[in-house]
Amino acid sequence: MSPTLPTLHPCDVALDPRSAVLAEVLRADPRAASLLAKAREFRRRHVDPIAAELDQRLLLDPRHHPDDLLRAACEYRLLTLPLPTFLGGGGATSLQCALAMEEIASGCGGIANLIGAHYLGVMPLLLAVDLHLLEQVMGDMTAAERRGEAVLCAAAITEPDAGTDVEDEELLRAARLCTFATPVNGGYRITGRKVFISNGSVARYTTLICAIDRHGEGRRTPAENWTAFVVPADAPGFSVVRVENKMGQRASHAAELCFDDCFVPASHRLGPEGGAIGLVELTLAGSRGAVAAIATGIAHGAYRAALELACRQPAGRGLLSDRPWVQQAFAEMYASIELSRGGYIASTRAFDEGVVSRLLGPQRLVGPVVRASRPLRRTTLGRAITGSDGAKTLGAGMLSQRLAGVDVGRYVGYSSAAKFAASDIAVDVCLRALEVLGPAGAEERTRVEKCLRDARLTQIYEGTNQLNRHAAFRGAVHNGEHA
Amino acid sequence: MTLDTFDPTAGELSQAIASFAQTELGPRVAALDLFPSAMPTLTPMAALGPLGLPGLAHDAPALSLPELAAIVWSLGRTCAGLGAYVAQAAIAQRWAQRLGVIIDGKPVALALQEAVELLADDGEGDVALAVAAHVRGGLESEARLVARKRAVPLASEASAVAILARRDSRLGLAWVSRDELKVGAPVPLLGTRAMPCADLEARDARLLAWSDLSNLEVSRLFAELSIALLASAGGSASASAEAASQYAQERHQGGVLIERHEPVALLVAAIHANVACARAVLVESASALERDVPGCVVDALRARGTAGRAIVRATTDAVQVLGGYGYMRELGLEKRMRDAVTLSLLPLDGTRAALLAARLEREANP
Repeated sequence: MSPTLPTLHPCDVALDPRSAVLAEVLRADPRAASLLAKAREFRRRHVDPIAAELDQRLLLDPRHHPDDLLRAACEYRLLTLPLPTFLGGGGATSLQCALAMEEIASGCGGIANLIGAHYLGVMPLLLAVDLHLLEQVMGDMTAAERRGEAVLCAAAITEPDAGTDVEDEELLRAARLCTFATPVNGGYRITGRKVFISNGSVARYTTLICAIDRHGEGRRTPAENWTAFVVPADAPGFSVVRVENKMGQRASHAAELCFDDCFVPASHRLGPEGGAIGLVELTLAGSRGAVAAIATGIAHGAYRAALELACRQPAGRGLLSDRPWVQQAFAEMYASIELSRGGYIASTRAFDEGVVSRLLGPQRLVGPVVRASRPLRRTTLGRAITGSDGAKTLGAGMLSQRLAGVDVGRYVGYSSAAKFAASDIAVDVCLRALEVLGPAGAEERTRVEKCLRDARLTQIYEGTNQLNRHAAFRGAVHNGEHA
Repeated sequence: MTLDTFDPTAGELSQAIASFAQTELGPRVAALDLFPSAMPTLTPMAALGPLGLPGLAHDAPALSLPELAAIVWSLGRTCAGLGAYVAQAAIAQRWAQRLGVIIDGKPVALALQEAVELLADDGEGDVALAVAAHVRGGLESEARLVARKRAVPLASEASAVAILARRDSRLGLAWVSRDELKVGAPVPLLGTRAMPCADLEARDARLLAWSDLSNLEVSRLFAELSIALLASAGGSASASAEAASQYAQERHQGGVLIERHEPVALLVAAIHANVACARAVLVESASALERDVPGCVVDALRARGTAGRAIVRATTDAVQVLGGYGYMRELGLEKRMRDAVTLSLLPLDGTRAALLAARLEREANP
């Protein structure tokens, strides 16, 4: 039987995602709708026109950095979007940032990751409630953004012989680590290497996680000594060894960083010594949802590009999009993307409501206090106090107090499940889109093959999908969620 | 015909190819992957020349489809693009011999893919080949070809091109000297960049020869080319599987080798199972096509999708085993995945092949 089939028009799908999941979120949250519109305009004006060319250029020159694009991102205030308003940021929630990430990733997964990796570097700073570092780094970032200069952050966790290990507390105990911080007078000296660090070669501030090694203790019990530092790019002993040549997401550099007796002052330690396990866990609870959003966006980009082509491609007396099997394929892709979108929206919303809101408290109360005390904090004495061990311990205590009773592992479980599901879906959708286009799908000029290359990385970074399944079981399943 | 035929250590020619591929071609694979943007001095033809392979050399021995698939599998282990290059040229030569067409110079390109969608509804809810290329003129001396084909493999290097076209209501191959054709700029693909592709246009091109083909014969051509190309991807996937196993036996995680982690062990097992499955399907299909077993074209077209998906899955999973290292171009695992996906779509993807098979079966059993 050959039913009467509707003829699709490319403009219908390109302008309107027709997402029931998204429509529900935007109806309830006008701010999300306005941020999404802003991200969409940024994508159309600045991402879509350069994505393919930038990808090709970076194949031959992996160190090329898209300065113009970042200047445009500054105009849209995208780099400070997740910062609280009392720090001069956009005050966007994790969910709102994730929606923007999806939109940008639908134009280029690499450019979305360039911004997403920056958010990942920022997140531990926000979560650690370290006023000294917040003031310094965020102040620099927001001022630079107003001038049209991009100050980027990165998070450095992965080591040459420890990838999955360093994102899991159990595995970390037996990991083969090579990066350690040794306490010295006034701070720490860090020696070692970190690899595959997104934005590592272009970040002004890198949030480094490594073990403090005091008399060999850190090597024996790295989990108990796992500590976060903020390392400025001009720190003596810090260098970028190389920038990797990747299959996709090339707009976001993956760099190998070397710490050669790199001195970091004690005030640049984020939280107390040995406090990074909880910080990393909190960060992953938020960041994996963002990766799921990027994966969803890449899948959406592949779907949109394939649909636009199928709606124009003649096939006999009709169009390729008129063929029943092609319509079935697009229906399946649409459904998969909706499921994927639902997953990241649920996990980021849960993180916002269950963790962030408790951590920050009502911004309308916190903001005036932080603003009012700013002149005091900017004095020499104020800096000494906020950068002191006591202040860091106080911040950590406040963090524990605010999150008392919160099962962070559960939120890691939610975001991990969203991440592995969305990234697996993204690769499947891209392969399906390629097949719908047939041999033409393999051609670079159809733009779908780039989506596949970009999507493939989302199954690997922020912990491989195997590790994310493990985290989902431990956090969401084993916790009794579905008992 | 046994699985051993696809063993690169079996047979003198396969052994010679495996050795040549490893020593001569191996160091050039990364440069070939950048083709055409960064390879001004090295051409695939130059790289493969010393091998004297079918389709490339005048005095090369005629090979059966299983033998060709075995050679291509061997080459694919080093570079799936070069394997695909040889597969394209050898299948073109095989069909020239089969159809009694004599072409001076090598290689000959096959232009099957249309500038528009290849499949169309024939008006009865059935699928038909929508071939827009057509030959005008009744007499051979007056016959002229009008055609637009997209991303034709080897078009820029070929001495002649065999173009799938219509003449009146008949399907067939129009054999045309490349000098008669307008060949566009190189069209980069996701993978197999050692096999250069370009768009091609014929405006009243004179024919060297015309060969009528039935629907079944056109489908056989697609089937043979698909099997030969997938053999290259399969060889590449087998090398991926070995690399994944080796990495799993060397890399530690949580204090133990990752092969001891159940999820990784299962992934490695699935990779090897998919390669074995693809190899068995390809050997069976190549053998059946060579012996012209009844129903072999339908079976091969259907099997093409299964084998293609198994190979894509194997190479994708191999990247996963290596994690971040698998994703970087330096180790070459990601290239094998790109090559596999590309070859799963050429000359037509699994779904279109299955639709053609369904059409053939209905024609055979009206």
